[in-house]
Formats: sequence, C-alpha cells, structure tokens
Amino acid sequence: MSGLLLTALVLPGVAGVVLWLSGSGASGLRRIALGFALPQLVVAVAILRATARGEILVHGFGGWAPPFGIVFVADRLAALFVVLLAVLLLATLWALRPKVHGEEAVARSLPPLFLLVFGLNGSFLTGDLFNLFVMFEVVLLSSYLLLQVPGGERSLSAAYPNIAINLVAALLFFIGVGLIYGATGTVNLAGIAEGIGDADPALRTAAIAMLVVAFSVKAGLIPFLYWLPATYPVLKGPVAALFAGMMTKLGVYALARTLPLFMRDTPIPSILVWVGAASSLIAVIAALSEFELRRLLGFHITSQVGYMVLGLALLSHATIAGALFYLVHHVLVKTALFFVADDLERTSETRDLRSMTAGAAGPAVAFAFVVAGFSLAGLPPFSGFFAKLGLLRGLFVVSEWALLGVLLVASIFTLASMLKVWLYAFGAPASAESTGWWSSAPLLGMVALSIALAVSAGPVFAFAEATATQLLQVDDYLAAVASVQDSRIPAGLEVLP
Amino acid sequence: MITVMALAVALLVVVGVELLLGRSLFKAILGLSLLAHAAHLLMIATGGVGTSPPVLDGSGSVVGTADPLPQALVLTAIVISMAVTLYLVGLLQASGRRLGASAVEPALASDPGREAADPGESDSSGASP
Amino acid sequence: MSGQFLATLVVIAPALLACLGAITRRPVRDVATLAVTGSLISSLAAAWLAAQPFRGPVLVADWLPQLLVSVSWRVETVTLALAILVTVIGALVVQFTAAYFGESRAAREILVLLALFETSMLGLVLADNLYLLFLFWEITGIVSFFLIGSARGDAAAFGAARHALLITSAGALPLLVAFIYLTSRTGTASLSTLLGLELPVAAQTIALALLLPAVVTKSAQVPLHAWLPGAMAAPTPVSAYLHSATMVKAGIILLLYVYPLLGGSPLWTVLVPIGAVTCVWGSFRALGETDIKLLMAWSTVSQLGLLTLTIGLGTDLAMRAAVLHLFAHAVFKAGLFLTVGGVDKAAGTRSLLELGGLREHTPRLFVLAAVLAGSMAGIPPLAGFLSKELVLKKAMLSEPWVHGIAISGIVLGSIGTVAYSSRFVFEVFLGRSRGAATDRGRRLKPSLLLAPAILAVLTLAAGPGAAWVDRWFLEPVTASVIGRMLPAVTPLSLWYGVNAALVLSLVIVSVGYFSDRILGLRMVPRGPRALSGARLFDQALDACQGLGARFSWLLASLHPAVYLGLALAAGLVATVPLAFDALSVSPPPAHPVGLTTVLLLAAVLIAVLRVRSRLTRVLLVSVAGFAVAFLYRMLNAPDLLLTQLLVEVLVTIFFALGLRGLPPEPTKRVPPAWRWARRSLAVGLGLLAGSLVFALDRVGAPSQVKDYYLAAAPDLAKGLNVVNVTLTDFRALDTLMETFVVMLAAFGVAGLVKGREWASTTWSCPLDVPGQRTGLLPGMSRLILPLAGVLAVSLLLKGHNEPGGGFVAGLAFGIASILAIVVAARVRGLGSAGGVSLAGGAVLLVSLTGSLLFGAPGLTHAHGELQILGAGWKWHTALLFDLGVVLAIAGGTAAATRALWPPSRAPSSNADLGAAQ
Repeated sequence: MSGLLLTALVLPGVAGVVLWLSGSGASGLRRIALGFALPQLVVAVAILRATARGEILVHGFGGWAPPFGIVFVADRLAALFVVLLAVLLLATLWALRPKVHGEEAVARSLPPLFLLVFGLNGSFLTGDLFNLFVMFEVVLLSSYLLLQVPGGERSLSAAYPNIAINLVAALLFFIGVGLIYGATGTVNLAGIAEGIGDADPALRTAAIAMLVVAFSVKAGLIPFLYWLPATYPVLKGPVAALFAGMMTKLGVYALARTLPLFMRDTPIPSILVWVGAASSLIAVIAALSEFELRRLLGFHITSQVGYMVLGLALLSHATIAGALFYLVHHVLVKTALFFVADDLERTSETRDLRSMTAGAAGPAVAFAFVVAGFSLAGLPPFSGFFAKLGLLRGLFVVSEWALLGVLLVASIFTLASMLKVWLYAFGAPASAESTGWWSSAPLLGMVALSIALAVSAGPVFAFAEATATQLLQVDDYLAAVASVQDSRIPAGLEVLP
Repeated sequence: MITVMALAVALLVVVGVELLLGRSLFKAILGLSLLAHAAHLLMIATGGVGTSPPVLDGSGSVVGTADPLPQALVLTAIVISMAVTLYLVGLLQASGRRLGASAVEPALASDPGREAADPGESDSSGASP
Repeated sequence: MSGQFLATLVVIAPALLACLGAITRRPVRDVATLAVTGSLISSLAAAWLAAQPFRGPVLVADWLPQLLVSVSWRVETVTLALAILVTVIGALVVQFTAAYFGESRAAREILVLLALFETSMLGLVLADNLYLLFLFWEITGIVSFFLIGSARGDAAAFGAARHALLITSAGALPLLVAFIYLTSRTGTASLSTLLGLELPVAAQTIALALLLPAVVTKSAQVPLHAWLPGAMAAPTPVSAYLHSATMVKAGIILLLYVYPLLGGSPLWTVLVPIGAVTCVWGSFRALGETDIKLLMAWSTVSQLGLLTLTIGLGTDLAMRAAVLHLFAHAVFKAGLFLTVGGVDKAAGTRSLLELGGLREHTPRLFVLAAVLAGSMAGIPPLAGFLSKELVLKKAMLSEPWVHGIAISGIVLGSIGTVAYSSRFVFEVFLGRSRGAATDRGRRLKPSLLLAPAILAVLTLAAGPGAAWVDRWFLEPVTASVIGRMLPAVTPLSLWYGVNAALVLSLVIVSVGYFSDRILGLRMVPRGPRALSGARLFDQALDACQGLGARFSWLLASLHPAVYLGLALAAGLVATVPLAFDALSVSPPPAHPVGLTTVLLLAAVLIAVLRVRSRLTRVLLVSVAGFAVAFLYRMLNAPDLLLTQLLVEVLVTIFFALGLRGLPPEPTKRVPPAWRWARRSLAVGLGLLAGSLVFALDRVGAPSQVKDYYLAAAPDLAKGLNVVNVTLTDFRALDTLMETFVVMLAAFGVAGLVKGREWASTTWSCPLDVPGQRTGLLPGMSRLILPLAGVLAVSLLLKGHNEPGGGFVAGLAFGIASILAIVVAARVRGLGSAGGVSLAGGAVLLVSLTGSLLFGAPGLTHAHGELQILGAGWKWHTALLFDLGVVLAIAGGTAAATRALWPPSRAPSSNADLGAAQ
C-alpha cells in the first residue's frame, strides 16, 4: 500500500527523464506524456481512496525509522492535493496541443512540466521539513524552465522578479529549518510537532515566522505577490493554467500542513489571519484596475488564497473545512478561467481586454466563462456559492464578524471584474466562424468538474470536514509516522555470480 | 568559535543584502550567494561546534564529534545554491544578449514600455500556423 | 401523485420544456409553444396541489446537509397562489414575446432565458429551505442580467445590466448572512419550521436588519431604486415580466413570508417611511417622463413603495391589503407593459412627444389600455380600486405618527399615479397625433392583443366578483401568510358605505385628474444627487477602479528590490527578542585564527562593494567563499570544505564565461534616501542574523538524531564518513531531488543561452568542441579529463569512509571537463553532457526503486561481499547511488558550460560580442 506513495513520486520523475531523452517530435512527446499522466491519476485516486477511509499511508525511505530517515506521509490533505494535481496535469496536457501552441513550445514544456509535478508531489507527500525545502527547489527550477519556454524578451524580464523573491523565500525557509532544528533537534515534521512544546518560545517564534514568510511568498500573499501578476501572463496558456491552479496552492498546502502541526501556540496564526484578510480585499480591488486578462486573474488568485489562508489560520474546524472546500472549488475554477484566457488571447491575438474582439471566442468558451466566472464570484448555483457559504458559516461559528464583512465585500468586487471581462470578451454575440466545442474540451472538462462539485457539494464537504478533523487531531499523524519501522535489507545479503 | 561565526554571518548578511537590493541583476546574484553562505553558517551553528569531524575512525568513540546532520543539510544546500547561481549567470548572459542594457537592471515584466515591442508576444499567443 | 414530484414539477416544467425546444433547434414558434405549455403544466400542478388538503414542507433531497442546504418546497396556499400568478403571467408574456419578436435568433435566446427566469422565480416562491430560496433569489438576478444585457454589444444596456446585478447581489449578501444567522441560531433552515418558532425581539431585529438591504435593492426602494428604470434597456416583454410583475416583487414576497417570524420587531415599522418616500418619489418621476416605458418603470417603483408601506403597517389586516394589491398590481402592470409594447409596435415610438391619437389605428388596444390604466389609478370598479381602498383603510387604523406618514405617502403617491395614468391614456390614444410617427401606425396582430386582453379581463372581473375573490383567494392566502385564520372582518366589496377611505380616494382621483388634464402638471423633479443612484453607483465604481490602480501599482509595479527587502525584513523581524537577550550576555572570546579569517572576510567584502569591474567582484566573492570554506574546516566539516572549494572554483569559471559581452553596469545613481534605507536595512538584518548564532548556542535543544547517526553509520550503514552516509543513506532522498535541481539548472542555462537552437533536445548538446587547436596547452589538456577521471573515481570510492563522495567527485569532474572545454581540446567519448547527466538521473531513480524488489522501502541500500577469485570484494549499493550523483552533476555542469562556450551567435547576434572576446 505504501508503495503507492513511492510510485506517485517516481512516475513523474521517470517521465521527465524519458521525455528529455526521447528524440521524438512534439506530438510523440505529448503521447508519451499522456501515457504517464493517466497512471499518475490512477495512483493519486488510489491514494485518495485509501486515505478517505481515514487511514494514513506512510513510507520510510531507506528503511530508517523516523526521525532518522525521511518519511512520506499521505493523509487526507496530501491525498487531496495529489489528486487535484493529477487532474490538472491531465487537463493541461490535453490543452497543450502542438498545432495550437507550437511544436517547439510543447516539446520544451513537457519535460520540466513533469519534473514540476515530481517536485509538487514530493512536497505534498513528504513528512520532513528539510525535504520539503528541497522539493520546493525542484518546483522552483522547473517553473523557471517553463517560464522560458515562450521565449521573447518578456519571458526573460519576467524571470528575475519571480526568481529573486523565490530565492529570498528559499533562504528564509532554509534558515527557518535551521532554527527549527536548533529549537527541537529534528527536522521531521512529526518530531517537530512533539518537540515544539518544550522549545524556547522566542527561538520557536522566530523560526516559525521565517517559515510562514517563505510560505506566504509561495502563496502570493500580500505584500509578496508582485511576482505573480508578472509571471502568469508570460507562461504558455495551458501551463499558466496549471500554475494558476497549483503553484500558489503549494504555499497554501505548506501552511495547511504546518499550522496545525506545530504553529498553534505562537502569535503567528493570528497575524496570518489578517494578512489573509488584507490579501483577499486589497488584491481584488487591485484587480479592478487591470485590463490584461491574466494579470487580472492573477490578482484574483491572491485574493482567494487570502480566503483560504484566513480560514486555515483561524485553526478552527469549521473554518478549515470551509477553506479546504473553497480550495477544491478554486483550483478547478481558476484553471478553467486560465484556459478561457488562453482561448481568448489566441482567438483575438491580444492579451489586453480592451483590444479584444468581443464574441470572437464562441459559445462554448462563453458558456464556460459564465459558469467559471460567476462561480468565482460565489454566485449560486455554482460551486463558488457553496465554497463561500462554507467559509461564511465557519467565520460565523467562530464569530469573526469583521472577516465576514471582508469576504462579502471582496466577493462583490470579484463579481464586478468578472462582469468587466464579460463585457470586453463576450459583449457581442458570438461570431459564426468561432472555435467549436471540441477544441475547448479541456476547458469544458474543468467546468464540468466545477459543476459536479456544486452538485455533489455534500460528499465533498464531508471529506473537507473529515480532513479538517484529521488536521486538528495531530496525534493521528504522529501515531502514523511512529508506526514506521526499521526495515533494512539484512546485512551481508549474498548475491553470488 | 561562536563569536567568529556570529561575526562572519553578520558581515555576510550586511554585504549580501546591500548587493541584493542594488539595482543590478549581477550584484543581486553575488548578494544571493553571500547570503547563502550566511545561511549555511547559521545551519552549522544549530548543531553546535564539535571537537572532531563526523568522520569516524572505527574506534567507536564519538565523544565531541560534530553533528553530522547540519553538515549534510548544508552540503545539500551548497550544491543547490551553486545550481541556482549557474542558472542566474545563464539568465544574466541571455538577457544581456536579448535585452541589452535593460537586462542588467532588473525590471518588472509589467513595464508598459516593454509590452509594446515584444517579439515573444506574437508567437506566445500561439497563433503560429 | 406525491407532493415532492408535483412541487418539483411546478418549479422545473417551464425551463425544462423550453430548453428541450432550444436544444432540439425547433423554430421560435415551437419553443414558445413549449414554454407556454410548461407554464400551464406548472400552474395546473400548483392548482392541483392547492386543491389538496396537504400543507407544509416537502423534502425532495439533501444537498449539503452539513450546512443544512436541501432541496425542499413549501406547499402553502400563498406559495401556490404566487406560483400560479407567476406561471399565468409567464405564459402570457411568453406568448406575447413570440408574437413581438417573430422568428429570430435573439427571440430564441430570450424565450429560453424567460423560461429559465420563470423557473427560478417559481423556485424562489416555493423554496422551503432558506439557502435554496437564496439560491433562486440570486439566479433571478443572474438571468435578469442576461435579459437586460440581451441587446449584446450595446454598452448602455450592459451598464444597466451590470448596475442591476451588482446592486441586487450586493443587497443579497446580508440576506445570506441573515439566513446563516437564523439557521445557526435555531438549528433549522426550513422556513416552515422557522415560522413556527418564537424568536426574541433582539434576534428578530438583527435578522430583519440584515434582511432589509435585500428587500430594498431587489424591490427598488429609494435610494437603491435607480437600477429599475435602467433595466428598461431590456426588451419590453421582458420588462413586463421581470421588472413589473415578478422579480421586483421578490422583496415584497420575502417580507410577507417572514412577517410571522420577524413582524414583532420594532424595526418593522421602518418600512413605512421607506415605502412612503419611494411611493411619492416614483410617481412624481413618472409624471416627468416622456418615454411611456420609463413612465411605467417609475410607476412600478411607486407601486412597490406603496406595497412596502402597507406591509410596514405590520398588522394582519395590512397583510391582507398587501396581498391583494400585490396581485392586482402584478396583473394590471404586466398588462400595461404589454400595451406599451403594442404601442411601440403600432406607432414605432414610445415618446409622448410624438404619440397621440392612436385610437383610430388600434381601438382595441385603447380599450385595454384604458381598463388597465384605470385599475392602476384606482378607478372603481376595477381591481386596483379594491386594493387601494383596502390599503387606505388599513393605513387609517395605524397609530398616529405612522398614520401621518402612511396617509400622506399614499395620498400624494396615488395622486401622482392618477395623473400619469390619465396622461398615458389621453396623450397616447386620444387627441391629435403629434409628430409623423403615428401616421404610419398600423393595426396590430391579434396575437399581440391576446395577453393584455386576458389581463384586462382579470382586472375587470375582480370588482364585481369581489366577494368571490375574498372567499376563494384573499382569505385563505392571507391566512397562510399570517399563519392563522383571520378574525371576522368586513368582507371585501366595492361599497363599504361612505367612509373616510372612500372620500380620500375620490379626492385622489379628482385631484390627480385635475392636475393632469386641467393644470397640465408636468413636474420634472431632478431631485438631490443622492436619489439618482445610477450616477452615484458609477462614481463609486470609478473610485474603486482608481483605488485599485493605486493598489496594483504599490503591490506589483515598484522595483523588485522593495519587495525583496520587505520579505527579508518580515522574515527576520521576529528574531528581535532573540537578538536582545543575545546582546545581554557578553560573547565568548573569539578564536584567534578564526578572528583573522573574519577580518580577511571583512576586507574582501568591503572591497566587493568598492570595486567597479565585474570580474574583480566575482573573484573577490569567491575569495570570500574560500574564507567561508576555511571556517568550515575550523568547524570540523571537512566535506563542506572540499565541496565549498570546488563549488567556488566552478562558479568562478562559470562567471568568467557568463560575463562576456554584457552591457556595462547601470551607472544611474540611486536616490540617497533609497540608498540609506537599503544600508540601514542591511546593517539591521546583519545584526539580527549574527545574534541568531548566539541565540542558537544558548537556547538550542540537543539533536535527536546525532547519536543514532554516529552509532548506526558504522554498524548498519557500513560507512565511517557519517556526513556522506547521511547523504547517501539516511537522507538519500534529499540528495536525489537536489541532483535533479542541478540537472534542471544546467538544462535551464542551456535552454536560456542557446534558446531555439537546442529547443527540445537540450540534453543532446555535444561536448565535442569544434575548432581543433594545436600547441602545448591543448596538448596537455588532453590529459585533463583522464586525470580528473581518476581523481573523481578515487574521491567517489573513498567517499563513504573519508571526506569526499559523489558531489565532490562530480564537481571535480565537472571542473575538469570545463577546463577541457575552455582550452578547446577535442573531447571524445563522452557523447552528450546532458545525456550523461540524465543517465545519472536514471541511475538515481533506479536505486530509488530498486530496493522494492527486495521488499524494502525505496532507497534502501544493501551491502555485502562478493567472492571473486577467492578474494572478497566488499560492495555497497550506496556506491551505485553516488555514481548516479557523479554522472548527473558532472554532466550537468559540463552541459551548462558547453552552452556558454563558445559564445553562440545569439538570435539578436550583436557584433560587440565578437569585440568583447
């Protein structure tokens, strides 16, 4: 069973190497890629099914029991992210077509794309803080490679903002790990959770602050979001969609993982709550003034990451459940919106809303935008409404009225900028010779998933609540990690010729 | 030894930050590698200072041996920061060729000036036949 | 048939059939027929349910049980009556729309949207679960957005649609909060259950306060009414349905629904002034309009005000009046809007300045218009008269101050109503036709007269049949609104004898008529800005955009350094306490050798800041690196020493290659303020970081793993160099991932520099260097690689027990290959550097999974002794792992270097590069 975790990590790694070595053309590479992405999804779902039953999968690398070896842990949270990533990967590969996005671009994108997934899966599964740091680096480097793919001056000049802030974040992360090791004597997450209580308060707070800043940079929270609107307009459309869906969520994941484990009894979460609130409000107002579609959507990412972070940082069952459900909705819808952006930009060959030819994109895209856009604004009957409802209910339970107000106002502004996009992109009746339904199949797929989420809100929310429970019951996590035994290959194993 | 490390870290950070926040990509790269040194020294400091390296002689006596874990982590980190530096130098070179003077002074992609004339614009919109 | 099924059928039938028609691409006529059928089906189903004895909630399905969201309908007399109203008018409007538009693509779209709206309205009316009600409440708004904006490409229409949607959904947000409040307080989201409860007054007031914005916005009460006249951008039939008969009533309906629950709150009375102001203001604005459609819109505002006012009176009898007027208004106003549509068709204009004398052309339309307008004006014996009479009577029964506001509001509003009604009738149909427009007026298709005719008949029949209406409609509906039987009241009738109400309404009618016909009263009150909400709304939106521009500039458009500094500061600010108690104690004396090293370091670093030449800077930084390496030596970290040295060498060479042909450093001086800020930040952060070392020394906890590692390395992992064992065994996964980082970086460089040349096949960059040179250096350099190979292998082999190991070996070999490349010796036998590196990666992945074959977890190593020729050869799979590292690192570094050398003629190949070399 625990072999699943290893497989989830190895598959994309192997895929990356194979894709780089194989000399075949773009479409051939794409076929290979799909050949790897499908089993990836299968494995992810298998992990999800296992964890949904409440069990926590573990895999101790090198046969060393923690805290001495590195251990992989898959609880509901990790499984959720792994599955979402697998789905996004599949959708991205589906959307990334050589005919549409150019042979060379596709060929250059695929290997780093899989190494990105390699790093992301590792980050979601690892139970070791330093290992998480290394995984972050893998993610970082592969994202740089993807950032270069479009070529052109803009992708070069977009590189620096992205790299610099992420390197600073990595620096803080590394020092933070050091301080944690100094404070608790281990870098194993479970070990930290056990040792953090006896650690020196000042040292503990300092260490956690550094980690949280590092994660906030990843999550694109205010005031560390400037790399985000600079980067996302540059990436190839479908890749941008994957980034929009997952990259900032990596920061969210790290917070969701570490906050309940060992950040509880510090002042940090209460600060983080307000950082999240500020992000959700300020970023959405900033988006109002944007006319470059993907930049606009980028600001919205920050805004909604703010929702999730404040939900998580409140560390109460109701808000965490709401935040997690919101996350699922957000990942699907945001990806869909970036697919829409890609379609629009290609059909009217511009990134600027003002110079777009309204109605050029055709009914399929328009329909998708209506669902995704209104869902993003939290309007019923779309998935966003239930996500918003869940969060509001959570805030109500912990009676955080101010935050409640912030969320409500933010959702109105979100609606406003979605309507703006509608005006410029779809304001006119669709032209006859617009792209058909099949060409935007990945997009419609994501939309269908979002609708499915709305319809089956009950079960998914139940899962979110179960995840929240599991996150708050740290003992289960610790017990699962403790259950990893030394399992070395007996010494002196003879292999005679 | 603690004092020495503290001084070294402080120096590296001061100059590193000064360079990183300078208005040039080249300086920023140097600054980042200095900051990395500082971070590595800090990590070593978490293990405390031993009297003998963690390379055993087989005698079984481990008294006063330095903590191997921070050293291993730092070794990993050194190689990572090397990799990143290599990449940044490549970036410096490439943008030096493509962007000319504007390369060495990092600017945000959102510069309105740049959006106008961007060869990458047309082909990245994917409309290539 | 079960209640669940029937109730659901009532809701979904219209949309279902219409969508069916649209999907099967039927002509508009058929779609319309289907939609009408759907409406009739649901009204029949509703009627059937009404005939049944059963009353109460029916649960169809749970949706989101954790949040108490479920699909459940409330089968009550009032809900069914409203459902019938919605469906009947819906059917008529659909029929009219089809006739109005004829065969066109827009018509199909509008019909489907209308059907969707009908369904959502039915859902709103019938929903028992509060969240379900909210859901339909919002959907009506969304559909209305698309109906108003259905004139696609028309900016004004879009503006109006956006205004309507934003205002109403902004108002709806507190409603959602109110519902959450009610559910979390009472533990139920079922309206039926809630109505049975008795809430404390405070709770009632809170809920009502949260609920009012939704009512005020949705039902267009002053000052948030401006969206309704704007919504007239919608096609006339649409306005007839949404913006007069149904959607704008949603707020009123909500008030009726919650009256038993929240009616006890003192805040309830606030509805009276709101309604009064709206009533008066609306009717006066209507007087000033010359577009008859806008006239009707403003009159709707006024009538909604009247309804709010009536409900505000807060007595059971007031509810009775409100119910009656709600239905009466829906009927005559829908009819009037359709008449307006007819006028538009007939005369080709809606402007009072051009219309006139239309009676000759369309006498039938004139009759209908007269009847409906008369009902609106409250002329006996029409429905409007009945309801207004009732309202007046109730208003007089209320306590004094309310009484004053209410009466004056009603009287003034109604005078206005009479005035504009008569103006509508007289100036459109009678008199001489002004302007050319009406001359080409043509007779109307009977199909355009059907719907208004039916509505007119309804409003006409209500008067004579007052008793019947009272018995079969008003009593039961009112009872189900207030939740109990009404006490015996004077039955509804046309004649209650001479009383104040009658006198008042006579006064109203005569004064209204007088002021319109005789005085020709045409007040066009522009009114205070506050009341012209549309402009206010746009201004607010612009203001937000301006603010947003400032935000986005602050957040994403400043120089990167700002945000970097911010991040660093934020990360280190929490260490201030540590710093303070670190400074409190005197530091231990510094080690002399170490101190000299630090002094050297300081000198070098200062020099780095001073010198100008890039290459010098690089060299100085690498010297600093050597100093750090020396510190590692003093800290008993020989592996770090080795690695650091090699890394510095490699990076320096790389810089030397990478710096070629760059444009000069920017000479622009940064502003002194910025420089000082930077400097102080740097110093502050430096102090903090330095003091961290002391802090760690003082309060650091003992390691949990050190002793185990020191014990397990020799015994279990069979290695004496514990650092290397940690890298290859205890924490081998770190090493593996990090090796991929190096590969990625290397390929990144190759991709960056060579760009499209090595597009997809970065890995295949050849290591062979063209341009064979002769001479001593190349000759010697032939030896470089072999020698480096030997060195690397030895480092690799002894790595497990002594300083050395995979990284060091890989770096050494990488440097060697770089040297070989730089001195341009022909390099054979290595094939492609990137390929080597990938091979290394493959090896690593193999050793990651290989151990699974032995049933052990990933990356588990095995070791043993191999008997060959009698001699025992120790073997350890860690060596294989390390080999992978060597290949990956060496290949990667080589590939990166190869990419930089020789400087390729880049796409934008600039000649100065050649000069630079």
